[in-house]
Order: sequence, then structure tokens, then C-alpha cells
Amino acid sequence: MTSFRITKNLFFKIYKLLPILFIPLLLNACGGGGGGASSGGAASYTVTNCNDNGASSHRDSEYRYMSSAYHSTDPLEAICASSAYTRGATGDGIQVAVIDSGIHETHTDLNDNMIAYTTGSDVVNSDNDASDDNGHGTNVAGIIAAEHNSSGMHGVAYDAEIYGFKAFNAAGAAPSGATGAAYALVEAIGAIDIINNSWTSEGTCTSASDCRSKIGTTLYDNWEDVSQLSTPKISVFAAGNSGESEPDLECQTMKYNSDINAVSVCVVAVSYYTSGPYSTGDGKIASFSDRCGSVAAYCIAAPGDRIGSLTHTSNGFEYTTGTSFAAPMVSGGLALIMEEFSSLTPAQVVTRLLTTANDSSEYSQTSIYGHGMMNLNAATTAVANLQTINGSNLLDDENTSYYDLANNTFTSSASFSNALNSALAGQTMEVYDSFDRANFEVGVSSFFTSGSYTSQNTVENHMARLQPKTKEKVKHKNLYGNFTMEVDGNYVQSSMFQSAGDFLALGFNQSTNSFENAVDPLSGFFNDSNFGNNYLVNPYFHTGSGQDYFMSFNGNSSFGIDTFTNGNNSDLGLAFNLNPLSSTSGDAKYAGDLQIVLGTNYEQNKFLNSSSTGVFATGDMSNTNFTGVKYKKNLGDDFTFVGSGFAGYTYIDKASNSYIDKSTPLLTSTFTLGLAKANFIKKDQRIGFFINQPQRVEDGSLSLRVPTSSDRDRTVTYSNLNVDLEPDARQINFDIIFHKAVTETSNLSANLTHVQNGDHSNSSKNQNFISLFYKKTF
Amino acid sequence: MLNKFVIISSLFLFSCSSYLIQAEEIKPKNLKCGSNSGVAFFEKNGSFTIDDKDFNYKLGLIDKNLDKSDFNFIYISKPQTSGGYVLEVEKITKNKNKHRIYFKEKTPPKGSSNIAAITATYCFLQIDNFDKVVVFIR
Repeated sequence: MTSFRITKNLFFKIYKLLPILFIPLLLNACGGGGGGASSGGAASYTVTNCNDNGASSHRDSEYRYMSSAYHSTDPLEAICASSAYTRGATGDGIQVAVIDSGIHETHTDLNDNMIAYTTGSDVVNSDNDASDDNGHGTNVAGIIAAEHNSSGMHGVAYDAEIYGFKAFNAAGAAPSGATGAAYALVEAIGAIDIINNSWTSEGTCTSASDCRSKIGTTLYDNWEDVSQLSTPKISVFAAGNSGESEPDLECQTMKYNSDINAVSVCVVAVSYYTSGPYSTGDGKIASFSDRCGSVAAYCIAAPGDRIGSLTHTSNGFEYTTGTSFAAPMVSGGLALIMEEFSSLTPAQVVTRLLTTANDSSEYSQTSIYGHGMMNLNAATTAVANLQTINGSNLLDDENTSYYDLANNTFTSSASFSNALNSALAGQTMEVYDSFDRANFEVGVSSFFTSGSYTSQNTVENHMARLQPKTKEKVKHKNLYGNFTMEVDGNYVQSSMFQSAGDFLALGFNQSTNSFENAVDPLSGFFNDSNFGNNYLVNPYFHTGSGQDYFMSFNGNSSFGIDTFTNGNNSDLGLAFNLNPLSSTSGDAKYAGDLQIVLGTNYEQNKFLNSSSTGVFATGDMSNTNFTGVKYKKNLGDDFTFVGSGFAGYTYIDKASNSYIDKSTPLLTSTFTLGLAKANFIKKDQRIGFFINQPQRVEDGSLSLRVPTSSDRDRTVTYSNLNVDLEPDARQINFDIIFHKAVTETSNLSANLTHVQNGDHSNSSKNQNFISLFYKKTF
Repeated sequence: MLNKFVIISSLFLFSCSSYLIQAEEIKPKNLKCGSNSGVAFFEKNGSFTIDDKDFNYKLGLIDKNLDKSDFNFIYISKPQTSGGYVLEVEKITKNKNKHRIYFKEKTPPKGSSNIAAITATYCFLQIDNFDKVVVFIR
């Protein structure tokens, strides 16, 4: 018994794998080039559940109409159709041929989805009127594509279009050669994607030639022909209703012709009807249904017992039973998959349908259910990793590479994040399932993270701003060759070499912009935190984590050089600082400090400190040339005016294959104005007023080139997305800062901040902060 | 003694009438046969006369345009596993007030292509003046 089970399991696995033997070939063909591409992983893919988790709006009365009061599960719920609808798949644009007893084309729940009868479509009577005189064809067509029109029911693919071909007479029998002739008519209509065949021929065949002989040479040859077209048509066949272990002849034929079985599906019926003679209503195989048997590799299950559909005699509805009605469930499902994934070939659509079937528990019995129960939730979901395509327009080209989604990022500067967000809102692009390169639509903005100035307005930052400035003192100030700097609280690890006579000063590994900090006119108010210092420092020196060198000549710092590198030594900045006016010259008391800055920086895979990876990466040499001025002047004994302004011109370096396709230079600006007064009301009280605009893009744009569609010939089309990077507003920070020395050992500070148009967005709410800080030293 | 006589007499008369009076073969005034895969249509299969509450309902499932006055009898066969079955009225005989209707259901030829639905064949008839109906199926 044990050995039998092992054999049986192996047997099942082989059948499970047969239809996806193409996958390794496919992945070999399309997965090259690295970039994080993962293998398909389909062999281990198991679907345990069909979770009908679509929006409730999709599970309306029309959705339930196929079932009756005695169904344990609605047929559409059983195949999780609402999940596919929520993802936008409704069958729109997909055309399904129904070879049957004709169709009641004027039924009000179907007429809008009917294609007018084509020439010769009534094969039985050799005319052009494929009307239904049996009812079966109308039942089938309704299950596929009855309209979602707030009346009655809707089909699985309620926006698909139906071609009707009458090959069966009023008794439900096909005259000799009729089905083959109908296939010839279908072959001639290029628009048809899927052929539903809710009919069978009873019997057994054991080879291709035997099957060809038994189902009819015309049918076999035409079926083979439509399967060999450059865009093959998918054929769906009912298994039969004899309750036998093997399906009928047409399904058996699939075993012996690889062209046919690549695009053909055999369907058995399960039952959720609790009150009928064919099941216990638990979704197991209906007693009347043939099993998948030796056709398991091309076989799937769908509800087929007491399925509600359209009548041919009126605009009414009726219930029907048989694998005839499981087959159109699958045809409709294929239409949804086909619409949802325009990049898939028909063979890949079939493979995806079969691979994503629920194959656990009861449905793991491949000899009964083949691949299992159709699951349109899983079928419209990624089987393996979703990936971006790296610039190529050929999904399967050996040179095409892919990135896993997590490896594509863009963290934008707040200087333009508002504009970027606005431009990308609602914009979509394609990504691809590494299993079969099925195309999924995602929002472009999903890869983007916005930088934010206002996010820094935390209570912690405001409190930290008011803490007394960290005291720094240089030991052995004038000792030649001394590299030691002592910092209270180990705030900065640095070293300094300063020559005797203050003629030459060299610095290393100071906090960023150390040279500027040395002349920061706000140092009396704000401490050394980045948050506090952002008002006046050079905004084009973005990093604080790397190495920083500065050099100034003579003690008055009339000329200096400031540099930075980031932590990876990949960014480089160089600024020349000129100090033509110095408070130490002339009458120091009333003199001004003027610093003029000219510089340039180069950023690797960044610009304006906006970092990016993957398909949004920028090149190694984005460059910003900048200039700025900082000025401080004492006005009388108590007043001090401070001001600074910086402007930059940024050239974005394009990386090869990046979706950032083109850009214009970005003009950016920032400024600060401030007025401080000592001895405010009382001695030892100071107050300052400051107006600041954080860095903002004034002009410039990007052009993104993103994949937006793909076709069954496996080509990708890119679309340009122009992004004007100038934000729609200007952030202005208003600050009032008050400082009081209460005693020699205690200080009180207060800060009121008002932020207008935060992050340069006119939709931002104004922010207000009040912070108080009291410190007493014991 | 009297009772015995009556019984014997009855037997004699029955035998005599069977022998002397041949059953009359009649033609239905209206006849419509076909097959249907609507579950509700064949859930209660069998014979229905105009007095059955299901008669009009079944008639409507076939064709809402059918005139109910045109038929007074339906026969619906037991469900089959596919289409292709054909029900025919072979003959109708009338013997006194008893009508015998002989149906013949043809099975689809082996290997033929047929719709894969559970279906039932039917015939709608109008027969004059019948009180009792006996259905035979071949």
C-alpha cells in the first residue's frame, strides 16, 4: 500500500509538471542579465486556497445569480472571480467562440456582448443565422459573458464578446462534420481568442491517428491548425458526463498532439449543489462528471452542477447541469487571464490557468481533478517575484535583465518631492512576474519615497535645537603638528592642525561644513545639530557621514577651501570661501562678516541628495555648481542682522537603461534672513527673528520613460512621463527664538516656529511649534 | 351464485370486446418534441396532463410563445448524460377511453458529437378527448 502511494504521488507530480516544462525554457530565454532576476519557481508552487477576496461591490446579486438556495458556495465565488474583477479583469477585449446549438443573441443580458452572426455561422442549416433552437448554446454563452448590467446575472467574463456558431441541432447533436466545419470558420476569424466546446464524443482513442480518426479528420486538422497559428486560439472542451475515470475523445486527443495540448484545456465538473442527485454540495467532483484520468496534465475542474444561465426562449434564466457548464466557466476564466496579462502568449495563459489552480487537499487528486480547481484569484496574482524590466523592450531576449521590485527605489529631495508626487499621482507602469513575465500594473509612485523638511519638525528636534551649544576647545591651539581636538560630550571626533600665528588652519573630519560652522552667526541661538544649523549652511554639501577637510589661510579666514566626501567616498564637493569683509578688521564692533561661496559637487547615483537604485538609478556624475553668500552685520550695540542665500544648477547624469530618460538642469535656491537683539528688555535676554526658505527647485524637469504596455508577441512599449520638478508652493519657516540666562548656572530658551506650505506644497497644513528648554547645572 | 355469474360475465364481455373491437390508432392534433437541458424542466420528469400544476410551467420553459390551449399532454423522459437523444411519438392508440402513447427514444450514434449537458427529451401533444393515458417507452 505504501509503495503504491509513493508511485501515485510521483505520478501526480509528473502530471503537475508536464504543462510547465516550458517554463525552464522560457526562463532561460528571458531571465538573463542578472539584476536580481529570480527563477520561476513554478515547480514548487502550490495553491492552497481560493480566497474570494474581491471588493464587495463585485459580489452583487448578479454575481450570485448562478447559484440557487441550495448551493453551499456560489459558482463565481468558488472560482474567486471577484478577485480578478477587483484587479480590473472583466474579459474586455477578449473574443470567445461558442461552437454549440446556436445562441439567443437578442437576450437582453447578452445582446451587447454578441458579435453579429458571421457568414455561414449556422453550420447545421448552412445559413447565416446561428440562432439557438435547443437552449444549450445560450446557457453556455451566458456563463461566459452574460452582461453586468444591473439585471439578472453576469457571466465569468462579463465584458468578453461572443461569436456564435451553430454546429448542433435542436436535439443537441452535431451532424457529421459540423464541428470541424465550425472550427474552420473560427480559424478564419483572427480576432477570436478562445473556443468553447461544451460537447464531447464518447469513446476511447490511443494515439494521435486513432483520435484523429474518431473525432473526425476535419475537426482534428482544423483544431491543430488553430493551435499552430502565430497567435494560437485556445480550445476548451468539456470532459463528458458519463462519470467515468477517463474523459471523452476530444480531451483524450490532447494527450497525443503537443501543438494542441499547449493551448487546450479539458474541464471536469464539481458540485456545490446540496440538494441534487450528483453531489453532497461540497465542491467535490460531481458524480456525473468524467474524471481527468490520463489527461490530467491538461485538465482542470470548475463548477458544473446546477449553474444558472440564460434561456433561449425568452429573456429569462434557468439552471443547467453538466461538464458543458464547467467548460464555459473555464473559458471565461481564460478570458480574464488573457485580458489581465496582455504580455502572455495563449500557451502561457493556459499554463498560468493550470498552474494556479487550487491543488491542495481534495484537489490534489490529479487523476480526478487534473491541476485542481480553477482559482482566478491566484491566476491574476504574481506566481513568483515581480520584477522591473531594465530598459529592454523584449521580454524574452537573452540580454534583457530584471530587478526585483525592492531593488528599485528613488528617495527624493524635499526640494522637489511635492512636484514629483503630483506628477506621478495616478501614473502607472508595468512590472513582470518572473514566472512567465505576466505584466502587472503598479503605480510609478510606489517606487518613490518623498523627502520631507516638515518631518524634521519633531518635538525632539525642537528641544534639541534649544539645548546649549556644545563647547569645543582646541588643546594646544598654537602647537605645530598637534592633531588633537577635545569635544565636550564626544560630540565630534575630529582632529585639527593649526599653525602658530593663525596663519594656516587645516581641519579633518569635522562635522560637515565645519568651516561654515565656525562663522555661523546663529551659533548663539542654535546648537550644533543639523536641524539647528540648516538655516545658514551650504545646502549643496549634503553629507555628514563622510570625511570632511577644510583649510583656511590666516586667522581672519579671508580665504578657505571646504571639501566633503560621503561615507563611500563616492561623492565629492569642493567650495571656495571668500571672506572679503571681516568683523576682525577695522572697528570689529560694527563691521560685517561677508562670505562668498563658489563651488561644485559630484554625486554618485544621486542628485541634490536624492538617491535612487535599479531602474530609477542616476549616473555616477550628477553635478551641481553652486554659489552663495552669507552676511552678518552688527547694527548698533544690540542688533545683529544675518542673511544667507544659495543657488545651484544641477545636471543629472543619466544611467544606462534607467527609466530617468532625460532632464533639464535644475535651478535651486535657499535663503535665510534674521535679526537678533541682545539685552532684550532685560540684560541677559536675547531674542531673534528668522525667515527661512529651505532648498527648492525653481526650474527644471525630468522625463521618465516607463514600460506601460506589452503584447502577446512579448514586446514592451515604453511611454514618456514628463515631470516638472518645480513644487506648487514655497515653504517658509518663521522662527522666534528667545534666550535668557536666569542665573549663572541656569538658562531658559524658547522657540516658536511657524511653517507655511510645508515641503513646498500648497496642500500642506501650516505647522506651529512652541518649545521651551530650561537647563540648570548643579 | 349471482356474484360468480357477474364475474364470469364481465370476463366474457372484456374478452369479447378485446377481440371484437380493435384499438383505434389516432394522430395527435398538435405535437412538439425536443430536448432540454434546463434542470427545472426535467426535475420532475414523467407525464403531465393539462390538469397538472406543472404543465404550464414546463410548457413555458420550452417556449413562452407556445399556446397552452394547443396541448393537453406532456411527456418528459428521464435525464440523459448528453444531448443527441431524440424522443418520437411512435403511435397513439385509443381503446374506449384509454389512450396508449408509444414513445421511442433514440440514443445518439456511438462516437457522435453531442452537447455535454444533462438533458431530457420531451413531447407535447394535444389529443382529443382522452380520460386515461398510458405511456409506453421503447
